[in-house]
Amino acid sequence: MKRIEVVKGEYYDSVTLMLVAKELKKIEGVGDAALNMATEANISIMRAAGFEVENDFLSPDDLLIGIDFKGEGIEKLFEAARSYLARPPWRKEERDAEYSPVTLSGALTVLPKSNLALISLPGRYAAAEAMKALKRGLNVMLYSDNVSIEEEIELKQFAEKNDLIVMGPDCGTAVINGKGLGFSNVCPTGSIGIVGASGTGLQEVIVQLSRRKLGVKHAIGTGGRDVRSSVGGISFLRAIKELSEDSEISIIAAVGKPPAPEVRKKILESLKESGKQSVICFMGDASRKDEESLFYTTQLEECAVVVAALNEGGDVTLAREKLRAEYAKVSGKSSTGELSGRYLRGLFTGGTLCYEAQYIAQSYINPIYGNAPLRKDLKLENSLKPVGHSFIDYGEDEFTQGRLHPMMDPSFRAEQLKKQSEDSSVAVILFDVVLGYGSAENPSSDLVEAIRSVKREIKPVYVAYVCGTDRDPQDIEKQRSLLESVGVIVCESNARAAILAANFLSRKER
Amino acid sequence: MSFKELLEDGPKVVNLGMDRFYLDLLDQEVPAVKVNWRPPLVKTSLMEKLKRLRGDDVE
Amino acid sequence: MIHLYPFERSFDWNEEIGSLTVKRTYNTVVNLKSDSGRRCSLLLKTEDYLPRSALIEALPALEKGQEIVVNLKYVAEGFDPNCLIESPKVKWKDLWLEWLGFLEQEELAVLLDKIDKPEKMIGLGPGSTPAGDDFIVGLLMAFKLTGNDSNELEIDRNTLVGKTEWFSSEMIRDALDGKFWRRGIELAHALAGDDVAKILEKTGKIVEWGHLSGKAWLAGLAYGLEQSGVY
Repeated sequence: MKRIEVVKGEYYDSVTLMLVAKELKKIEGVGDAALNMATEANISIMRAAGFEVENDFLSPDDLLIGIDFKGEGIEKLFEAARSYLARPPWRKEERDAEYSPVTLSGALTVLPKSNLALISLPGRYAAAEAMKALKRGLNVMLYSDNVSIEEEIELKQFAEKNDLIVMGPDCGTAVINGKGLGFSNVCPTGSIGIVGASGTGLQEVIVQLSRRKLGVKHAIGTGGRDVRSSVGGISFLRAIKELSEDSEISIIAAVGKPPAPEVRKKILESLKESGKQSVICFMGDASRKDEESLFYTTQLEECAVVVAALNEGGDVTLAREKLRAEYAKVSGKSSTGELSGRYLRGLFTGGTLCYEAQYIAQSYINPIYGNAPLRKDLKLENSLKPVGHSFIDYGEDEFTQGRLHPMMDPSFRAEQLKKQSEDSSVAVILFDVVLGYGSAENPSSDLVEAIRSVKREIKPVYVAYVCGTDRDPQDIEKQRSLLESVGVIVCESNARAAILAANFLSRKER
Repeated sequence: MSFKELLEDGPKVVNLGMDRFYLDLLDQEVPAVKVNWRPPLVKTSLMEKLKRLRGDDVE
Repeated sequence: MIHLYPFERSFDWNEEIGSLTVKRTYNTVVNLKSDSGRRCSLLLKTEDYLPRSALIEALPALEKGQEIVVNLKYVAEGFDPNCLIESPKVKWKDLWLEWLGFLEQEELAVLLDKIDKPEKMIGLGPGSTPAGDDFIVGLLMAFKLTGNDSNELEIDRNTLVGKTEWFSSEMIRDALDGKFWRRGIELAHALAGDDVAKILEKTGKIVEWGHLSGKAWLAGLAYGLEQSGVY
């Protein structure tokens, strides 16, 4: 029996609701449980799941509890739901005995010296809270997406006038004075400063620098839209300015997708004026010739390699050649064994990692479809039913409604991995495993379980990249061994993994 | 506190949203406070009363 | 007849030996009625201190209506329920304003409706002690802390018992006499100081009290502070 109850006047964040639903589903007889705030979109989702929702008096601030229960006594399940909401069973007792403020103002009485608001609220509330924070003199890191570009511009213009910065919207990663915010890897502190318009882009550069024993002092995220002409690169430029003036920073790296032309011009000018050497990494850009203090790269590992070369006062050209030679060796590794199937499937949790991997792979195999494809005409009709060569970013909006981000909860992607593995047309599966703050405690385990449970005569070849440092809490060595124990080929960078995976198929195609 | 001061002093964070981010900050010994955020009051006459009592800004 | 020997008591319970009737038993608290009709309590945990209560090492199984004797001769004082504390510091204002938000909950709407005349909340609202009574007590503490006169709330002690639960009516009487529970007193101390961690801790202990009782109490305190004219 499917029933809905409405709780008015109570707000819960979507993570709490999702976890309560998970707890309810553990109860015997519960076929389905869904808890959502009554937004239009959510009401449709619940109706699609077979719950009857009468939306006459509903507002987005009401909570819908939907339970599908076999047998008598469904009321008890609703009672359980309410009690889980009041006293979350998964929380440790001590921490929650303490009162936490429910408003920004209240919070500022607790920590009056606050200088940053880290906002991961639903998009419809995020912008207003961000503005409140700015008005109280706080900088803002806006993890939330679904913030309109008009709101973004308003926030950033206000911030600029008040000497503050807005990192975001859709900014998942930042490092400030060696401390990680959002999803970030534990890295040594050092003399590199990074500005980035992407989350996992920053993470990959930080990780690759860390592999080369280089530390980062600040990595400032700006959100993906900052470098569009309407936003004008407000945050990007402000970040460059501060990194330029920081005497402890010797090299600046600027990472993202190619900016709008007039924004690019300003970025380049400001980097030239910085008096420091800079490395640009605009992914997907045409290759350009290095200038005096400006070095151009188009891939994340390459960016770190050039930074490292500059740091040692070494020869950048030589460093690039060395990298290319290593990549050639990587492609060579793909000659072993018989492939079963014809297609490459990429299953990613990091948006930029997915983008870069697609970009690299497409020079070996074509076309590559996906839910965040390089070209609009390559967009999959159904992201759960990929065709041909396909790359799926499971961190995209369509998958994260009512679900935790796949970096935090690997289970959904692991299910998809199993499904793809059992598709006889799939020859190679490529995936990323991102470590660090924000990520799950043991991200490989769900994937490894999935691989073990695959029923197919000849399994696909698995290629993976573990994006992490040796200081990350998940123990990178343990993650690698776990993957290797089920035959996954683990590569040293996102680029190498993409090259290897694509080469398996391109050799086959020849 | 300006952006420059944020970079110089290091982050002191008010977290609005996912608890996980707050816990990770505590792990790094970053001063932080979490907000169990609630949306602004629904407009009913009773809530208007409450708003008046709290002196909430009218936005 | 059972004789019980607490080891510590609140300042205001000083009858050396008293004969009392069991009104209600819980895991860690027993509420008793004295000859004069007042509530007295036996407790296992210090955090549960109330006016006229005493700490005991163990509670025997007791039944409602049973008569017992409580022996307080030479028992040390451990808790002063009188609220003689400085008023909260204005820097915490944005924090207590949040507690008014507890009244947004659907179940407490009935209280919000009566907020212009809080004395009408007596006996109203959910809970075995009606939440309206908790609100009033919080409000009365706020009055005490800010030097306001509790008579402004037109509450007639004599008709209290008829309007609400016995335990609640006793609670309100005590509040009118300037006597409160330990959790509330500890919060008041914290609000008069500068240790925010303490404030959050003590507030947390009240929020988790009962289903909505603690929240209603905090809302009353906040309302009283706001109405006091001090802040």
